[in-house]
Amino acid sequence: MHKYIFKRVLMMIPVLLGVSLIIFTLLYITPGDPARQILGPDASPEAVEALREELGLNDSFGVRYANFVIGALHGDLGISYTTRLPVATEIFSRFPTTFVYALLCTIVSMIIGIPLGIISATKQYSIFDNAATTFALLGVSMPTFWLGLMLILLFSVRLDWLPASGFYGPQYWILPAMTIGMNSSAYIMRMTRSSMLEVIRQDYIRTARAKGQTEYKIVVKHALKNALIPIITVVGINFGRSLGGAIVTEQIFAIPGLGKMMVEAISARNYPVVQGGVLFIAVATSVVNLLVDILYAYIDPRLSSQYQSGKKKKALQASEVTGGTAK
Amino acid sequence: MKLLEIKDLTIHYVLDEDTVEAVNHIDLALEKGEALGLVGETGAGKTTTALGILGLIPDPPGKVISGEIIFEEENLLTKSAGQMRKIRGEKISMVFQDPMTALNPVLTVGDQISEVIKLHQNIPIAEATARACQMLEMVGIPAERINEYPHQFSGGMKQRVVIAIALACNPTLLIADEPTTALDVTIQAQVIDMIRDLRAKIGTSMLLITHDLGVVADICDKVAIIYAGEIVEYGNLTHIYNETAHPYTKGLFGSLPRLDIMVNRLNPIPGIMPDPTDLPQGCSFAPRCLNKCDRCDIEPPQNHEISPGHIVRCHLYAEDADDCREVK
Repeated sequence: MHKYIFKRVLMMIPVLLGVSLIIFTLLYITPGDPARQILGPDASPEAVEALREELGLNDSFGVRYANFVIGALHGDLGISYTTRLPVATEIFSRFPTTFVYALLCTIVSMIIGIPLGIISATKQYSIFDNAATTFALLGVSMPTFWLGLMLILLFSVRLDWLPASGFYGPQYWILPAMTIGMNSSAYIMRMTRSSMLEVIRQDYIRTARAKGQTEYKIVVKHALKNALIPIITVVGINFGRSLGGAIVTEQIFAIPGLGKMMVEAISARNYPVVQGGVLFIAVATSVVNLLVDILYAYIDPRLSSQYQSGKKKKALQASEVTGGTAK
Repeated sequence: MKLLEIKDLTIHYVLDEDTVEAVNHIDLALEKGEALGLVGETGAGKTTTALGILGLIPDPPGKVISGEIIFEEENLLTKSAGQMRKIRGEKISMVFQDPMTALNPVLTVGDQISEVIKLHQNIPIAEATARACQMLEMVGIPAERINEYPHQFSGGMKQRVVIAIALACNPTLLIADEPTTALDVTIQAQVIDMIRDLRAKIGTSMLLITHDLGVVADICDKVAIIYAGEIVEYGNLTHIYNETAHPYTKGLFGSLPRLDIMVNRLNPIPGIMPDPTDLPQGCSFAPRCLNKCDRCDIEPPQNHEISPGHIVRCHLYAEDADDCREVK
């Protein structure tokens, strides 16, 4: 298992190199001059040229990329053009907000999505199932920017129950979490439903019934654990995505998270912040994926034996052949 | 004393367009301590009958249309879901056809054996685990493998685990649904021997569902031949094997390969089983029967007891059916 994790961490290196190269190239070929953006339209061409030289923008592509990678390896992602603060500091000051928000959305969507999916699957074609499936279709189809605006309109403007923007305390969390939660819980519900439907038709569920087990325990103990892998995959993808900043919702609700930072940085041609942000998102997504994969092994023992090192696997196979005990 | 008596059991699967008549007016009886073999082709209604006894017919689409299943003098069909749960696993248990899929892949075999013990016996967890170890040893698996998962066992061993689960609460009736079909031949013999030994040890009555007449002759006392959801012939081993009466049973024996006679081709029963959504009006077997006469197409046959305990459902044995016998 440790060996597997180590291997996966090593595999992150080429992924991150690839991501950094792509984002760097994209920014390199994007039109627009950061120096001009910083100094404003009234600055003299000489001042702009001087700043370009200072920021290293006149170096060749190779030199600039090498500088970026070497800096990143030392934990130095550069200095933000607009705030003059190190990019790493900017990211880590905003990360807690995004993390809380992502966690909140994930929890909300799981609390809604998984139970709805389970009940839908166990009572397939019932009124409840039809209602839940319709809800899921709505949730998947409604764009988050529209839903967010509608929620603000209803709960902040009309009813004046909840604040429309900012992120300062629990009452500020409700609307953004509802917006994303509605959308991702719909995905989770659909995945839970289809995965559970497949599992409850399996023979081992019939075996559990033949033992005289209660329906509740059959669903929770026998079916859910088997149905969990696709559900966790969807939850993990959603979580990873929100960790990178829910760009649209952060913008709508003025949440000072990574997503908002990235949008602002892109429009200001603030290259170091964009590069650093994307790199950070890539790391976060890779780590979440790794955690999800490790979680698989805890859920499904068949996978954990696959993760085991070659030596152990061989010993296991040998003992299977002889019918002896695996040590 | 009769342990299990099925009277006039009819089970249909009601689909959107058709109704599958899986089990039609079955009568069966099983004495305490006996083993009854239920023999028939694929799709004849064997498994549906077994699931019907356990109350596990998937509903929808399955519906019990009529009949009684009397077990220990009580009709199982009138029992509530909660009462049936108490009977399943403790009094009646089942060994399923395919051991590869019958065990839950994410629970250890120990968990799966002790689960049924915990459900029906009010004993501490440690004791239930100890009992699960005993069961594993009883089916010939070392007890130290109790914390392993099903994928770490071979097919034959998985079937042993399934049998251990089924026997964990010393049930009065064991239903074995083709317990050896999914296993290879060498393992089949082992499992059959084990079932016979354990039955002798525990004294469980058994309903063995199979299409293997050899296995039935090996471990059963009574045999019921089922065709298109009907019992066509019922009797003890002598009745079925030596005094074979029904044309279908004769056809089954005729199609078996024999070691003592040199033949170039096997001799199958011509035709296929009728579509269970559209059964013939008269005798279900008539379209394939070598002894068919005119009334077979029109009138369903009745049960005739041709010697004590030997029941045949065929017009050949009706008292007023001389015309049929002449054709033969």
